[in-house]
Amino acid sequence: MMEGFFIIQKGKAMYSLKRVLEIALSGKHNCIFFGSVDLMPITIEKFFIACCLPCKCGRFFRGACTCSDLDIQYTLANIPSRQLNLSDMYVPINDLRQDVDCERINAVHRMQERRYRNNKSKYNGNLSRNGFEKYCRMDFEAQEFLKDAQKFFKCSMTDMDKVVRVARTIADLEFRETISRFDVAEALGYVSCYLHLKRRIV
Amino acid sequence: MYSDNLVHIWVTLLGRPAGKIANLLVENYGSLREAYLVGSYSDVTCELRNNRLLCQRLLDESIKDRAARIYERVLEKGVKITHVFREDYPEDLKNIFDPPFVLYYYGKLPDKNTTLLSVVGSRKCSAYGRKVTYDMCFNIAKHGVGIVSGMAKGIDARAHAGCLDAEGYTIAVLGGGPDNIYPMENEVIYYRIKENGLVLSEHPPGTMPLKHHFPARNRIIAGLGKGLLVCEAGKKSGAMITVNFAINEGRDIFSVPGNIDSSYSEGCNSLIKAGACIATSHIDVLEGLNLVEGRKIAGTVGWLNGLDKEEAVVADLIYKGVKIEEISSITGLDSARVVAITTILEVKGILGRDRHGNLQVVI
Repeated sequence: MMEGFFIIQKGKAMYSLKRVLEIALSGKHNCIFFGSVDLMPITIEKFFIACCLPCKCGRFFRGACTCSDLDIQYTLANIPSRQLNLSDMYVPINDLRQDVDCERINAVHRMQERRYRNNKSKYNGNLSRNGFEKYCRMDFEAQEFLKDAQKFFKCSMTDMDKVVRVARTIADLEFRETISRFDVAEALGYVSCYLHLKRRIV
Repeated sequence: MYSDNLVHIWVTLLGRPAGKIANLLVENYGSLREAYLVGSYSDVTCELRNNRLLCQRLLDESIKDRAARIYERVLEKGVKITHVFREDYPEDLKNIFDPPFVLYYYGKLPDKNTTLLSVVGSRKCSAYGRKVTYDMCFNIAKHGVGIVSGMAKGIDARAHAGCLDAEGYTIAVLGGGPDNIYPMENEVIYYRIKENGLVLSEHPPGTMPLKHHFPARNRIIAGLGKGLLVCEAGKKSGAMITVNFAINEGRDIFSVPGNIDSSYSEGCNSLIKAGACIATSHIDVLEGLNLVEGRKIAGTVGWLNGLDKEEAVVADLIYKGVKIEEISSITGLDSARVVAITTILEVKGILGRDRHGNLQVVI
């Protein structure tokens, strides 16, 4: 059960932090924030929210970054690979505080507990690929979009799993059973910055 | 072991500029071969005795050994050689100040009839620069013009890729030996150029790509082409060194304009201010090289046609330069919705990311 408030950010950033946190907390997704300050990872009930620098100077997603390509590769390599690979969402942020709507999150938690009562995993965050067919039902449009996206970003199956998991939580937040095209697109938006960092697709 | 090529490699090791030394030797001995066979101090002519350093090197056996070792490596790697006195040496390159005396290459040298265009730009570039470079080089290569560039990251790599995709002729001038692939990311491009174009270097095979080789390499890039196209260059970019070489050799400069507040295009815009030709399409470049007559340029009107209402609004705002953070407050859309729409646009190929990970309109 979530209580109180914590976290970061307000005002200007591409991603509204409130939204990201709602998704992260209600689905219990592991999550990495790329901020301008190095913070220790917070671990809550077996899932973590970490904050780290995207590059040496810390200004990668805000323009005016002076690092060379190699520097960025090294910084990325210095993040423990377990945390990097286990995360579902990667979001660039500024470092400020933000309130979260706890009631809504708790409602989503209850919903997931009901749904996964016969399953090994209890939340969307640790749902495995075997459960996708049963629990993550998608529109035809959403499926087509996912295929297109995988071709375009040239990403691995592990990366696509992250997208599906997060899209499930986004649909849960609006209490819908089927995942729509916009859910998938939004979930992809939270991973695409990492894909860009990793592979420099331009 | 004696051969024509060995003697010319030996001359490059005597000092710089090699062309001047070669002329001096020919004046004194009649041919380079005679100079190579000089063995004792008594054979050295009066004029050369005054030039102490050259006289020393002329008699030095270790330099001859080095030349022999380089020649062995050349034969081993299958590298081809040409030098200034041969006919297949590129005509435009012969006339620059300090032309490279010996060229090591893979592939085939350009015909005398082919027109060449040098393309330069910075390694750090935006999505706009990459797209423009690729499109321009693709279309220019379709008209039978060869593309010369440096096979570096960024603009150079895109220029080669565009030319190769149009099945054109392209020349890569390297900073190390011709067998040394640098950077390793462009390995695929390197092998494609080796088959269909020319990989060129003034350094013998096995040389590492060192820092100071690159400015010297730029003079070859500038010298090979009839004109120089600057696609995207910062203020202190290495591309500006090439531009200076090209101006000194009297080549035409074409510059692609960019946003005035973009740090990537500062160099290009300042070139335009100084009087370079503005290249807004491949036709401008071809006209400048006297290859085609004037034609109408197709505009990019109607690029919003295939999109939904919300998508069109967001794409239009980004195109106008509105920051992505401000879109949700201007349009009243949910920020989650904005993230979704921008991702959809990215997958559709309308938005791209620049080096800093910021979204931009690519079309």
